[in-house]
Amino acid sequence: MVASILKTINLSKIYRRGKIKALTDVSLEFNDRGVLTLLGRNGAGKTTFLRVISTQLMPTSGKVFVLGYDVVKEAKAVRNNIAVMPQEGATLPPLTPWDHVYFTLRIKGISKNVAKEYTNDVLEKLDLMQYKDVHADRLSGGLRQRILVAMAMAYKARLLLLDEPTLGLDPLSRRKIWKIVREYCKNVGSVILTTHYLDEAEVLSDQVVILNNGKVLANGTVDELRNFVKEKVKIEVYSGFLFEELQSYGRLVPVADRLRVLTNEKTAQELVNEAIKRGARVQTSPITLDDVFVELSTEVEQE
Amino acid sequence: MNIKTIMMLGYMYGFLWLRRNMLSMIWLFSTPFTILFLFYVVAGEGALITALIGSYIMLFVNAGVGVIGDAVWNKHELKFQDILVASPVTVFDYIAGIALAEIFFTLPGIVVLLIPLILYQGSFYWLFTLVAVPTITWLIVSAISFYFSTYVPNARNGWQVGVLLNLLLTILPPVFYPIEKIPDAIRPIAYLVPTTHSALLLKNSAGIIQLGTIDILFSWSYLLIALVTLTLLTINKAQWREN
Repeated sequence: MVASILKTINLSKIYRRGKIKALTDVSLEFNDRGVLTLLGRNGAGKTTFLRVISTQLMPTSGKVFVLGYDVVKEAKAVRNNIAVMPQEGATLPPLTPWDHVYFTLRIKGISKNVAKEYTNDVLEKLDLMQYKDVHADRLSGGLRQRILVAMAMAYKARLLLLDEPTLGLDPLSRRKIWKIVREYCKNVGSVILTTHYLDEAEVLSDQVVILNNGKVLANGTVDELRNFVKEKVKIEVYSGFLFEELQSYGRLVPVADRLRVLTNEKTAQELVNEAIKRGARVQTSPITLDDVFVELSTEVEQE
Repeated sequence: MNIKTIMMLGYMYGFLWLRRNMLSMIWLFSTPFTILFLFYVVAGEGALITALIGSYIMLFVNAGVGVIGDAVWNKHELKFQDILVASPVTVFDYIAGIALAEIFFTLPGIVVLLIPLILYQGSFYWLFTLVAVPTITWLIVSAISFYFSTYVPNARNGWQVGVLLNLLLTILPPVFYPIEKIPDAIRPIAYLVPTTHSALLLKNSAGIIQLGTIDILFSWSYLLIALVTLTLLTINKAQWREN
């Protein structure tokens, strides 16, 4: 029997200082190789969760199994099989991308030749090869962020834990990371990551967990999570309609300078036809994780 | 204990950094050399060997105290400690690696001071104490520094604790001055500080002071027991995996 990648049972974490309850009875399972994404607002408990499962932080109560190993009793076995990229890490100014990756591998016990091979491989994949001998303090923030991703990926761990890996990256670099993360899943091991970017979670994830105030708000595949919003289509209405008129078409959500109508396919078609008649500007798209996230967060706030 | 891990950490954090950024070397031996200069100017040539020994000990203490700044920086700013906690690297290997890195920064200063100290006299016991005493001192201070580093909340506090630790280990105890200058009533406190014993052993070995066999054995034992106890305490009680 293949052990699950991650299993938590009633995991809770209370920080003694300030008595902050960071996680409350978090129970979830991640069984098949792929990408598990933790979504949530600032302070939702994503980083705490990642630090507990990566043996950096002791849980207050509950059980956590990573790759079948208990993170409290078998921390050594867990540590041999994971690699971590912490949130908001930084690079050593006078060291090059090659130094960062190569020496991190050597420090973790990888032999000289294998470390060289892995370093060249990951720098190539992350488009860092051309900067391999440039001091980190002369590189842009985005390139330095990629070095941190490379340091974690190069180890080729069975489970890779990335805390906000694309934070501060431009759209093209983000897409590059997405591609590499998917490749990692295909060829090396599983990935658990945290992100604020809902599009990132949508593109990358095999399973998504939405955390709010340290509790699991939703857990499932992207398609399963979309079902949390009962409507199937959203229409952004920029002009040509009054608020009262739109109410008959579906549920209205004000978004910046426009109105968002959440509705079903048939009514959406009717609204689009009416918009064409009026020459109004509208835009139709399917329900995304963004809508799910807003829906769930709003529900919690109202409670 | 993984020697390769320790060597690689020391190389990456110490040697490689130093090779690319020589400026880092200056601060670590600026204080001991300044005090040496002051002693020479104020007390004259007669106090030179005492000042040399004091500066020599201070260099190793500085290397040990350097662990606190770098460990706090690694933990809170670079997050490199997080990467290593979640890896096969043990807390002992990490402390030893960072301590080794710090000694690289002080090596030039050590060499400069070692030349006159070796020339001072050539007995085997003197050469032995010149190597063994500062090495033990450096390891003790490194262990203490790492312990504190895991409880310090930010980098700035780390540097501040480092300055305080340096003061408590080199300026206040009788490292640069005779222990007799301390009033009898508080002298036992001075004996609690490991660097007091480092200075006593080196001064005795140099022939500046005369210690009895029991006192010599006591000082050696104190340093060794402090090394083992503080290392074990640090490994078990420092916040490697946080609570």
